[in-house]
Amino acid sequence: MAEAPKSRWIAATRHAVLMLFVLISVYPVINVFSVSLRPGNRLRSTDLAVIPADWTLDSYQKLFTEQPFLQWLGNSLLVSLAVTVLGVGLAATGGYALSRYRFVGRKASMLAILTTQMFPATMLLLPLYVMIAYLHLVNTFLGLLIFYTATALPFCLWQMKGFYDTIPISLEEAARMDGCSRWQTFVRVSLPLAVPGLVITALFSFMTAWSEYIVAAQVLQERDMFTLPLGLKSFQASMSTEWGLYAAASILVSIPVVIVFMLLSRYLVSGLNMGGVKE
Amino acid sequence: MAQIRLSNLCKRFENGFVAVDQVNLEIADGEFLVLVGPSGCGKSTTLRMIAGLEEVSSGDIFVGDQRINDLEPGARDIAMVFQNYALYPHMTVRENMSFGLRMRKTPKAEIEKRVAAATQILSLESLLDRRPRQLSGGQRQRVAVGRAIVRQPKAFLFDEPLSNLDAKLRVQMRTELARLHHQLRTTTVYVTHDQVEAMTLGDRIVVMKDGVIQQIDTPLNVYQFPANRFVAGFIGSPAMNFIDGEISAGVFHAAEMRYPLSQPASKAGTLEQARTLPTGPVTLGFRPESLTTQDNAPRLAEVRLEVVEQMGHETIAYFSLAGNSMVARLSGKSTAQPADRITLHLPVGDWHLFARETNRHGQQPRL
Repeated sequence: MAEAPKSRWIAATRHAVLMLFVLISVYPVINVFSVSLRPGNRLRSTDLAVIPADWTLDSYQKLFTEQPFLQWLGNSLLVSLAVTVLGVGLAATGGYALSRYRFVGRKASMLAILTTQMFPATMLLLPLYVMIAYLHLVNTFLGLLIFYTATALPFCLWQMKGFYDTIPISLEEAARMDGCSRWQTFVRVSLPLAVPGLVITALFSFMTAWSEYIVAAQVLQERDMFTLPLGLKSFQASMSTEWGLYAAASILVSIPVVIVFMLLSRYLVSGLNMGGVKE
Repeated sequence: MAQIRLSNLCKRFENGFVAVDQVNLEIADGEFLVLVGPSGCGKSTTLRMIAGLEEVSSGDIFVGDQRINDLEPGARDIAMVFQNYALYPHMTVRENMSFGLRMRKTPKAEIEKRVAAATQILSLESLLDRRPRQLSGGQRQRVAVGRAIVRQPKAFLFDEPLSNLDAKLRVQMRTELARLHHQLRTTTVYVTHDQVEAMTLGDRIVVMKDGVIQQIDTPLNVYQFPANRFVAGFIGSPAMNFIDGEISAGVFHAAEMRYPLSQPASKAGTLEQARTLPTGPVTLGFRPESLTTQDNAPRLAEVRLEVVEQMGHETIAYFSLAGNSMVARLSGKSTAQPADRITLHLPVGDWHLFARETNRHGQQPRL
């Protein structure tokens, strides 16, 4: 027990560091939340109270009544969910092929996929925009969907491939002995065991689309078609910025992400594969 | 149930490595056949070809009268137990066991009946709703066996099923498998590198090396009449002792050691033996358990013991003879100590001769 005081010190230090980081991450959120509750004439107040004395939900109300916020929310949800479904579907199957099948060009294509990650997204903006323009997909959600899926997929493919690699091949062999076709083996054995990987892929795809601004700003042009980041930016006019609306919308935008994360995080458990085989 | 026949079966991998070379084998209906050999000898590859998990390079596999080379693994009606159990981690024991039947659209009532029967045989009743990670190693292995038997397949394939268990559990599961086979009488092919499993479980043993079958016979025949030096050295523990030397006038010579292979013509059998003894260079082999300190058998040599392991029921003594490391298995009551000099005797006929070039077993007629 001679070590007890020492370990208590370590625990205290650890907590202090964690608290510091919590403070750093939470401060801006609290600040934004506070601004969103202020009446229009006191937006730039230096008051330190989180909930101002004369708090009001005016900004939130305006968002829904005077601005097409719901429309943007719908647009964002549509695009993000579509990207998630498409991304997960392609990564789940493509990653499986890269992990389990040996075909001509497998290594080359894996390298090519990796290479695309070396370029910053902004660099790909122009060529991708030209392609989308040729396809007459400017100002359409389909154009955005292709854009987002293409940028998220390389990471997701590698992610899924890596995940399948950890699933022992003998489980699939056992399934085939049990009468599964290749596809049934994939759906009934490999896929359920890859759930943590799928969740990460889904989260990544969703976030890629949900918070993206630069690409959306090029592809979407009408205000009614805007996704949330574009909508928020439109509060920032050339002369004045509607900080109240901006803050209120920011808070609302982050809620779905938090919910999605909380829903999916319980699948992010390690050790799902444990117990099936003994290496 | 059915017999399995392998005809000129070959497996050549893409890198040119021949894992299985011209294997011909007939496994009778209800037989328990053990494939045994050192790692890389092709026994697992042979098993996986029967299972359909490995493509056949050439040759044929028949189950009953049906050629199954091109059938999907699931269509072969064969069940396999894997070395690492390969239980589905996301399913309960019940789901693991019934999976194969569900895939074959077996009626629900029938599935329940069979799972119940199998769980009873393997005493898994209390574990049905657990997941594999909540089971011990032995329990997992029993579930893996259960998954195979509920399907009531034409044959069972076992791929080193006990090698992941600890020693005590391995012995227990081994007897359980023997009992199970006695009960079900399903044609079984069992791969192992453990010769104790091979000897105790198999109706017949197939000894393989470098993809080639060395010998197919009953366990006792393999032990008593090994076809060649490899089989002689592989089956039996501790392994057979070998010593290179020459025969002249019915006496084996190696360095300063001499051992009379033929006895004075007082016994009729040995007279016959003396006449058929080869001459010239040979390898003499004798098992550690054949050696004795009692002098009613011909004298082999006086040796100096190097290491003595007292096991209680037996004493294993290590020594050198004409430059070869050797082992003797003496009585558990032996009081031999390291550095002791003792005289070892080898009873008449308890030896094997192998031709030096071919390593083939010579001499001793099959009884």
